[in-house]
Amino acid sequence: MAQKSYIIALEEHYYDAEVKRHASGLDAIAAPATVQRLDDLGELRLKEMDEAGIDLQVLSHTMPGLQKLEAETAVPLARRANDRLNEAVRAHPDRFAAFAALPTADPKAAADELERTVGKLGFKGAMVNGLTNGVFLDDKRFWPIFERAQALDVPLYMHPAIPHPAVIDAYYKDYVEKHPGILRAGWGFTVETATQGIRLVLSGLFDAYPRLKIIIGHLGEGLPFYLWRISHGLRGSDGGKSFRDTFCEHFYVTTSGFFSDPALLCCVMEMGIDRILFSVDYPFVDNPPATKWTETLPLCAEDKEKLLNGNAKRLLKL
Amino acid sequence: MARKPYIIALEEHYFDPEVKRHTVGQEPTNAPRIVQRLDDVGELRLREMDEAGIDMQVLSHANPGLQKLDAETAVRLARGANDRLHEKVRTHPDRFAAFSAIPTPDPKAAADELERTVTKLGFKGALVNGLTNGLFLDDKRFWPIFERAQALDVPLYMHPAIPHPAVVEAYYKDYVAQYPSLLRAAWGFTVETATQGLRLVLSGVFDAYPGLKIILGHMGEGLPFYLWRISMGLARDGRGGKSFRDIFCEHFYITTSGFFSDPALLCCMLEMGIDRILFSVDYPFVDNPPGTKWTETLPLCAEDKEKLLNGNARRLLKI
Repeated sequence: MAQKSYIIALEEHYYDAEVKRHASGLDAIAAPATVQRLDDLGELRLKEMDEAGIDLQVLSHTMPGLQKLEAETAVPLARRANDRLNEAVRAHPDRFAAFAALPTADPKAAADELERTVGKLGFKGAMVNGLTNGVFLDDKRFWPIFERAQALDVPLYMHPAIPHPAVIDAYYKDYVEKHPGILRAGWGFTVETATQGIRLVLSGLFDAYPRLKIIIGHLGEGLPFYLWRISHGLRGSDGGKSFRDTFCEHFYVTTSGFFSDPALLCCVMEMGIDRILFSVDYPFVDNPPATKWTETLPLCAEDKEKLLNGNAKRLLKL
Repeated sequence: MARKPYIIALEEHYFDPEVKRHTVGQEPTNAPRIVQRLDDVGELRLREMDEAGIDMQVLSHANPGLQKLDAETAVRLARGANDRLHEKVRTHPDRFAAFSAIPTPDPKAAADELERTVTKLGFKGALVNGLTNGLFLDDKRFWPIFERAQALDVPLYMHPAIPHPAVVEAYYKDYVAQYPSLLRAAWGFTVETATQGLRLVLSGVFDAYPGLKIILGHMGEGLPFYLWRISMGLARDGRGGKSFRDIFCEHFYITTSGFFSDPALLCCMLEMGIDRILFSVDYPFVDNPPGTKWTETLPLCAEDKEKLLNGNARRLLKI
């Protein structure tokens, strides 16, 4: 029996008590078992990590985080929430690391908060949840955040949130009541976050910041599968550098909430194992099915180590 | 050197001259090279099939077809367009077969036209291009079409068109001028047509019509990749019953149109099996030779390659 691998999980969520009070309507999370676990950064969480063999969680605020708040609310709240998160990490520094919550409604302040949390608190990057008050993050107003991420050499994690209301109305509303998952992990999350990834590439952001690193969860929201077709569709208007080239140079993907051999193998073939990182999506997804899945993966030991910890250590400098 | 396999291509488009006049401004392309090929169902097309080793094309009208017309115009045009298409097929019955253009704005008339074209003209099913005046086809008003497709035992091919204007506004408009294909093959087509597939499953149409068969192009618009995640995401809704995966793999067939990727194909094979994957090019939006060349290097055994290139199409379309 081989020694158990050290396991780092990258997209693991919690609730800040004060940020949580701002979430209402579709953004509120209802399931009591999930809320209980989002609220817990101690005993219960550590027990469930132990049970599944997860050594380190990189913590991030659950959706929608600060992305739907006005700037004047989001900026001071970000500081308080990140400081509280830092306390939780400091209580268990061998078990937790953190991604910052950024007040993207004020891009300059968001860049400053990223710098403060990385420089002063040792955070590993930041996670952004969906659109910022309806605007995709490739909009030029947000580029100071990317500029700072490159300067600090930390990745930005693009996480979904409830989709744009106009898209819900056009594509999903007939099924929302009976199948609420259509807005979330069932489909709507995927479409919007994959669209965010494509828009980042088209925006020219990676020409401006050639060392920028982006993480997308849920096996890249499917973008690795589509690399051939998207690149083919954009040929002739891509200025010579294909979508595939830009994507594979700047993007990392995680396995959060997506424990599928065929999908993982497709990602390995398209991107290589060095850009794929283990995640669970706790507590929306339970830990044990995730770590159990990795035990049966058709990967050599070296590649499995990369997936479970090596790539995260390198990307997040753990 | 092995004998060249017989090759059937399933999602191959043309323009009917009269339908074209009624969809001015909605054409899928202005590129003269592609328009010339959409207009041609004769010498040029046959030559380019020969050059790439394609033995048979199943012809279908390019988007948006009849889906964005008023009901009266759509019903009137459908009959003439399908009759003209039938003439083209009759001229080269060993090289062409056809999917019907159906006037979905009038669902009952669309069901009748499907029946007429299948039983009287020998068509192999129908291809629908995107939303019908903004409505997804899972809306109950369209179920008579699915009922008839089941009764006739023919598949319906769900093809994309330019996405819903509200989604273009919310997701794509900032990049449309510089990257027009963002609305089309690069992304917008994919999202809307995959959403159509997902909605069909959620609608319960396959409970009502358990023999119904749906074809999605472009490697199933990516749905095979997502089967695990979609099934999990929807299972949380606690509705019970069959999983998304089970319904999808029972009722859907996919084609390789415009998507010649080994990793994507292998992912689809692992999820759906080779029996549900059919070769297509997406001519003339995509050239034939890269399509057939790609199949020569596929890591498939000869038997599975035959299924992909012709066997599955023969079985599904009764060719």
